[in-house]
Amino acid sequence: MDYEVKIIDLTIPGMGNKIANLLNTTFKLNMPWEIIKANTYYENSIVNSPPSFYVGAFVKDEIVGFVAFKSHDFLYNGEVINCFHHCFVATAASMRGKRVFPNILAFGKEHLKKMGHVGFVYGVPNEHSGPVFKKLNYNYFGPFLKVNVINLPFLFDAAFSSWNDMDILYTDTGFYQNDYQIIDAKKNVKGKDLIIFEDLGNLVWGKLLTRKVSGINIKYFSIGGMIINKPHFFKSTVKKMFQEHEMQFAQFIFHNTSTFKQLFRNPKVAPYVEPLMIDDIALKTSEKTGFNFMPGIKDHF
Amino acid sequence: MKQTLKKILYTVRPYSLPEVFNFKIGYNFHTEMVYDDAIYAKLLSFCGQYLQITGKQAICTLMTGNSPKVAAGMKAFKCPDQKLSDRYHELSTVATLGYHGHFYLNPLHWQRYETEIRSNNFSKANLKEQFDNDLGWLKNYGINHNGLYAGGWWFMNQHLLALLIDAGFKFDFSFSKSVYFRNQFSHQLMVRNYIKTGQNFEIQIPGKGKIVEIQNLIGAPSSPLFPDYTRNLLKILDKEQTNVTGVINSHDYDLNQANTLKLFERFSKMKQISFFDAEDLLTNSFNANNRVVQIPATAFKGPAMNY
Repeated sequence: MDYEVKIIDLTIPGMGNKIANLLNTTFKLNMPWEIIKANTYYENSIVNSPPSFYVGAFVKDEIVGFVAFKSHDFLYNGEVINCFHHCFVATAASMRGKRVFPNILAFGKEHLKKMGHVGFVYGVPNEHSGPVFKKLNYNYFGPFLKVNVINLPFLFDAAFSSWNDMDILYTDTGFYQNDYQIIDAKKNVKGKDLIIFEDLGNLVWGKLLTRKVSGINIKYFSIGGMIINKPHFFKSTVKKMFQEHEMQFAQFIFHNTSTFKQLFRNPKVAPYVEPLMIDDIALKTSEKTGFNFMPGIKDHF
Repeated sequence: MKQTLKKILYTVRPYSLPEVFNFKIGYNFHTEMVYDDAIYAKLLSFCGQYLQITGKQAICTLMTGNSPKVAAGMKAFKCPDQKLSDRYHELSTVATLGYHGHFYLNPLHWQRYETEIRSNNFSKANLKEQFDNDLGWLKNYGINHNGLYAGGWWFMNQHLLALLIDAGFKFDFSFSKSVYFRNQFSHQLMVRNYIKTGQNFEIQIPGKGKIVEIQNLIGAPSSPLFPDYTRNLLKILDKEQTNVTGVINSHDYDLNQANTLKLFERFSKMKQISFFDAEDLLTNSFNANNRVVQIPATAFKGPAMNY
């Protein structure tokens, strides 16, 4: 191995800019280091879980590979389970084919094991990183599902399942994303663009985006997460959201094991959203494990 | 205009309570803004008049000065802890006190919706910490919670029930068949155990103990029209449960005093309605013949870990 893999020391002057340069060159972006850090470095645990960390591959002082390990406190029946999301993966073009990414992942996983009490590490891989995860024996938990709720009378109603008084939206045997932690972190990045909508104990949060279709600007609400305590009011909550914020549709994406799929009539596999892949650290996941995860857990949301 | 139309409607269809039903009714305040002079005066006055009409005391489940929300209100209204405590003691002369808990994932950010603990988004660690701190505040100021509890934001689950039982609570008012007054844990428990509207039940946690659930029937009326109230009550009544026991609830800050007193005056003239208070709960048959619901040990499990 003609490179060294190690935890990145952010106190080294200029290190942040070196990371930004690698990421921007690899992905043809122009993101300042502050934004990259705000999207990946969580240190707002309510139970003093360790913060995010970064692993790099170095040739002398030059950074040639990078993975962020973003710290999340997930909730499972009242337990706070600290887990990590590896994201913002980049390898310098000159180092491709030298197993930089798998070596960084293996190093990161060993580090997580040494930290103790870390539940799992997860990724939502794209077509490039997906095969690597498979080779590393990650557990594949399947796709995310999607529902676009259209802000037009008949189409609006068609999106929701009918909710009866005996129906229940509850589980104490599944993971919930910690919307408080994620919103708290996102507020530093998104500021006023982040919308948090509350209605009768239901909370839906996300960001308003605009998509250009055939030259027409379509405004939509991309949902990052939700806390639904009154599922019988969910449809009216979304209706009120449409009344308060101008948008043509709201996009709900959730993992296929999530209880949220009960709320909708016909959720479909989200074609452009990568699947959830998990590598257990201290936790034993099984095919029965449920993940009430939405796009808020992703780095780019 | 709306009221006139309603009056006409109710002349044709009065929404009378069927005679087959017998009701035992109490009153539970979610008491949150006693630091406000006007709200406190109204609450004190109401409880006195309620006692005169029904012969029973209302139950005021209290938030403590330890709550960040209450602490912010106390600061704004220049009401120190001792003054709040003095008011609670004075209130106890016309009402029975209990505890009303609101919990947060991060109390420092209590003004954010996303930190409010309402259902699955909770951590046992900070739930217990805030619960213990609240009970510590009550103890410090010599306030007896009388073993009575009502959940803030209707948050309830097996972990909170275990905390309540451990702390000696005997009665809880956090369950309801009304869509407004329940979270999904309590709804699931009632559905799976076929609990009907107004049916008391006892929750047992093996190895810990038990607590009796007295349901919330419906909120206090904001309307002066009696059928507005009975129309909503009829929606949740079950023909198979004709003995209906429960509390009517409101906050101290959203109480419509005139309409609520008018409702109880009407109730007091109806043969099928009687009243209960905390003394009845703590001393008589409310503990007997209740449906028993057991919470299994598996309900407390976290995910499988290797350590």
